Amino acid sequence: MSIKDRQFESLVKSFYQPLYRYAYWSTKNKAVAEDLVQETFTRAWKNINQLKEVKSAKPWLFTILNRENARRFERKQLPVVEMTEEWQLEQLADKKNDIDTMLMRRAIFKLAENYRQPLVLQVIAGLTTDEIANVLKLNSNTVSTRLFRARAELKSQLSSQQPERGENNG
Amino acid sequence: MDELEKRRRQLADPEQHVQSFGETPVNELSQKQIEALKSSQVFEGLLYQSMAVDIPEQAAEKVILNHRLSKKKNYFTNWAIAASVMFASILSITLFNNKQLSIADEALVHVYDEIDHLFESNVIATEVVKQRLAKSGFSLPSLPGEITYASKCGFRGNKAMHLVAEIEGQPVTILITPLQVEDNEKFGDKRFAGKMRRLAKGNVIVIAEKTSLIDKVYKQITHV
Repeated sequence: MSIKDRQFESLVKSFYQPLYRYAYWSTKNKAVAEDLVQETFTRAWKNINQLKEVKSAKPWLFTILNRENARRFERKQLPVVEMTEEWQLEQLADKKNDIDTMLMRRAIFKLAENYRQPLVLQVIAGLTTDEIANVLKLNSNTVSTRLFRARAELKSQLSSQQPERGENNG
Repeated sequence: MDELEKRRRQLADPEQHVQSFGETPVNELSQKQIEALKSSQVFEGLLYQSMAVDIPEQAAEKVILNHRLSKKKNYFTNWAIAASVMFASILSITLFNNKQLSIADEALVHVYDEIDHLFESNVIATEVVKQRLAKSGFSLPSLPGEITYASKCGFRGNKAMHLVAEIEGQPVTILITPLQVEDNEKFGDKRFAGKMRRLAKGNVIVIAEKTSLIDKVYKQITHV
């Protein structure tokens, strides 16, 4: 196995998890997310010579994933049956998930994409504001504003759900 | 940066938010600040937990496996392209010298041109193969057990059938053509050996890496 092969496999092992989660929250579909990550790594392998430093690997991979996601819409699309949000959320549900997690997921689902994307890149990928700005081709101030608004929107959604919970429980 | 912008940036990046409190001695933090810090930490914990959806089982391993398999395939394709280019060059020189290729040489070129078909893995049902042969106006007294490729082709500009059978785990090419061939003529190159036979409903050219496999195929297809 060549050095490049080893480098590639270590990238897959290190970054599969955050890439999949970001892909999931970008597409809201588990199967599409899995395909998208596979395509991201296929593209990454073809361009692995572009990767000069290990520390830039993470934002580099997320940039590729974003591009591959955009390409999905350029390709000829087969008719897709859109599943309801309820159904999609059920697919995520797990016995270990508590009600707060489920409510938060519902709120994340409802976030506008331009708020959700930078937030997932920060929380799941651990990217800095500048790195997020590079990945999403935005300026840092815009990213900061969107991160701030995304959190505010989530908090607002969660607090509006609180009385309902109280009523149901009581 | 004004105070409002600073505050906004802190809220946009909770780590920085926590650090900004960290610079302040604990006894100087107001109850309100401590509550805000706690609430922010609970919110961030819940946010991470909610975004961290489960990963499909062995998904990273699948990507690595696909990568390894595609590399093997590419290695084979590159080798096959190089081999066919080399062979085509040799044959073009031969063609230049001899004006026209013999049926035997063309049969070998045909195998190299369509070398990918030697490695098809799905077995085609006997009935389907028989139907395809009949469509092209051919039939064989009997068929080898496992046919993995069966398609009409334009061998030497004529309507012909190109079959690939798997014999003892190795691919064997069977070309069926209306062209008149020299019965029992043998030919070959460094890799493949071939033999032609005249049969009742089509003349047959069999090409394989081992001569014993060729004889086995003729035995099978002439067995009634």
